[in-house]
Amino acid sequence: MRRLLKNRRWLIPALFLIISITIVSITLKKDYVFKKLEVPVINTLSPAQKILSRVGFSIKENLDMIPQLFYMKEENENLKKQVAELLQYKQNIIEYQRENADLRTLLGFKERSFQYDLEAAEVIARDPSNWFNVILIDKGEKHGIKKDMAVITDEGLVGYTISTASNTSKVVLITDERSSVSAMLQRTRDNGMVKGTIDPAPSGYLKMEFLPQDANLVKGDIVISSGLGGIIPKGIIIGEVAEANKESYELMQYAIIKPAVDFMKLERVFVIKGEKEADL
Amino acid sequence: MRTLAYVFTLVALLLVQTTLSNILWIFGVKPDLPLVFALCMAMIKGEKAGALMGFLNGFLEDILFGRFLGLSTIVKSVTAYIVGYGSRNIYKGPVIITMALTFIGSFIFNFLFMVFAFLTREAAQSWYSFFSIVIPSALLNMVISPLIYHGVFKMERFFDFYFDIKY
Repeated sequence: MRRLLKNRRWLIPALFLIISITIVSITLKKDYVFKKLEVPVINTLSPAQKILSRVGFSIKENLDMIPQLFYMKEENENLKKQVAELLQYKQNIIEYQRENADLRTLLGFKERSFQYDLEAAEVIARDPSNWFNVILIDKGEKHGIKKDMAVITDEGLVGYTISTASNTSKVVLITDERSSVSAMLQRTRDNGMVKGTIDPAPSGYLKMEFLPQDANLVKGDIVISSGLGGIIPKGIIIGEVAEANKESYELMQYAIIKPAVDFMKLERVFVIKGEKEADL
Repeated sequence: MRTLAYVFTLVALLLVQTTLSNILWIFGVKPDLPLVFALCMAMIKGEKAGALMGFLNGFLEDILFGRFLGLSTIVKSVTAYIVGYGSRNIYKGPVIITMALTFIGSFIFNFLFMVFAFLTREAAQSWYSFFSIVIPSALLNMVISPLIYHGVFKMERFFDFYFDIKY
């Protein structure tokens, strides 16, 4: 024992290991300890991150513009067609909304048209590792943002907040392995669980698990959040089915989902703080 | 002065890594500039300096993006220490040596990261895509390593010349 203590070569790594395990277990179990360390560091670095991320986005935007110049005319024509189609859809939706409201009144249901109370935020930093997908946004507790709030863009679901500081929040993206969102197929209403990048889904894609064996999956089916779990409100677009397969034990099916949001170009997001009555 | 300059460089690289990573993204992965810096520090200034840079880099990463302290902090400091200790008796003149050590260091980092992430229940399934992520990211780190190594070497010579060595 004495000889072991005299030999300092073992002592330093052993001490390092003990201290490391202690730090990990303390910060893992006690949120407030981690927060005390987190807030000053984030508050110091976030102004610089905000400026640099704006520079980064403008560079990326300009780089993306170059190939687009060649397809501009074609794209313009397609967009015009899309606008015409969407205007038609809009008219149809207004009609359906009115019809739905009338029918609900007839049936005695409570009016259920809500809008989200949104807080716009800018993405100021991204997780540098290749394993996790976490972003930092420039709004936090001061703006009414709390842990476990859904984050979206106009395209669809981005993720949810996992931690907040006074002026910033950490958002785990739906492509992160640790993320899990209850979802359903918009067309067939079959329920499942959408998880982040896990084999066999290719990088950047999602996997929808626990789909019933008899679920009628078609490529291109829209996947929306089901609202179960309480974090993500119902009806937010997650993505579309890119591929459908049976699990190896064949009791369930799974689908590879292409996310609706382009996470490479994620610049501005909205945090859903709650629901408010729609202005009809 | 010297330590401050290295810390400032590390923080600057981390800021670039976290904010401009959408430009650095190649083949679905991105290089880890602060890790390469820590590895180069370990090669030039020894395992202790490298471990210190790795520690600081990991600490900032854990604070900014993690859910607890320790995952990146421990793994990055241990990786830099291993690379610094392992390359003690290697002549680091040729660029190929720097590149090879960075590749090995990146591989060790990713392996240890996954082990720790698994032990702390942060990741369980990523082993499936281990090689498809690790090999391209280690190659990317390897490609940029001569540039960062050269930068650290120049900084070291600058400080030696103006601050330490008196003629």
